[in-house]
Amino acid sequence: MVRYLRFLVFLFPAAVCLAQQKILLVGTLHQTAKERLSEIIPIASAVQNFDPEIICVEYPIATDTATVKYKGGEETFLKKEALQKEWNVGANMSNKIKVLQKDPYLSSDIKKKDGASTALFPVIGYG
Amino acid sequence: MELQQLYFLSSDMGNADYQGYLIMTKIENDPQNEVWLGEKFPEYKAMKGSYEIKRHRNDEYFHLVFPLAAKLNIPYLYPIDDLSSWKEYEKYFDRLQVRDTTDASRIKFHQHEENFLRNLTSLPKDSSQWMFSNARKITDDLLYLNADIIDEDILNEDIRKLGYYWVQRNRIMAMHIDSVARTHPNSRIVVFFGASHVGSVRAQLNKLEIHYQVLTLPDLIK
Repeated sequence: MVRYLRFLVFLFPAAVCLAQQKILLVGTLHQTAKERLSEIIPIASAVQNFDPEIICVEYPIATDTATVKYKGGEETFLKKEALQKEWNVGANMSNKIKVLQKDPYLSSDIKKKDGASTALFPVIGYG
Repeated sequence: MELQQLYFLSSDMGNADYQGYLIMTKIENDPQNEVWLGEKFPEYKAMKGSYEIKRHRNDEYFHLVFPLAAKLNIPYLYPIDDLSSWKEYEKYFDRLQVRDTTDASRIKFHQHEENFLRNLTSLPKDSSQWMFSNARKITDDLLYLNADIIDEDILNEDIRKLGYYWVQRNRIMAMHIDSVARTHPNSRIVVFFGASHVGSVRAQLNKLEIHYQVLTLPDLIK
């Protein structure tokens, strides 16, 4: 019995580790010199093998007014409102986005790209 | 294209750029569709211009993140940046650009920067700048570069303020990642950001109530 308990104690940290949610942090260079673009290939392969279900990116959150203004300028919301009128895009944009996100054509379109590997990594020819 | 337009107008720029990438790679060899899009959607030209500039600049999103997201069939990217107090950071950053050879703290601080840049530029051509920037030693060194870690003998107030705003940004970025993780429990998450953020966000994530298994590239590429 004691031996069995010891075995469980031994396995406990490993089990906790397996149950923990995994977050992979990848540091980028923002702009990579052309002659160093091939260095992206092993990075892309490693991340692909990690098989993430969620991708987070260094972009502003749309509802974070201060960050959006910092990136787009003080007038950014006014400019976008003017464009919204000019392009005849009605109100309720978030509802429209939700509907379009569920459009099966969108996901099937991305899936089609999975087959078109040469188009995916155009400059470095990663397949 | 309609979705790209809606993301753009609602300031979700990461997903506007991602949709732009998907559209542009789809119509690359399809001039007929390109003409049709240009006629039907007034913002098509601006989107195409932005795509071409970023691709030409070898932006990592257009060469790594977007292709990978498409390959993994991921339709939406989660933005996590925070620049709400970045103007303050820049104020101290700009002040520190003026070299002061009389202040020992500033001399030491600039020495970190010079050492890092010297290492980066002296890398042999066949070594990987990407892997170098993700190596544990370097991500730790970068903490000094942004005054995330400040040695006790650094007394300069500008450096301390720079560190304060840098940590604040990374703490909020970690909170955004935590929020995404909580809404998608058990999902594997990858975060792409400038290499300077790796050490700082890792430290902030490790302070959270929930214990995540935080990995970096050297954990995957030995």
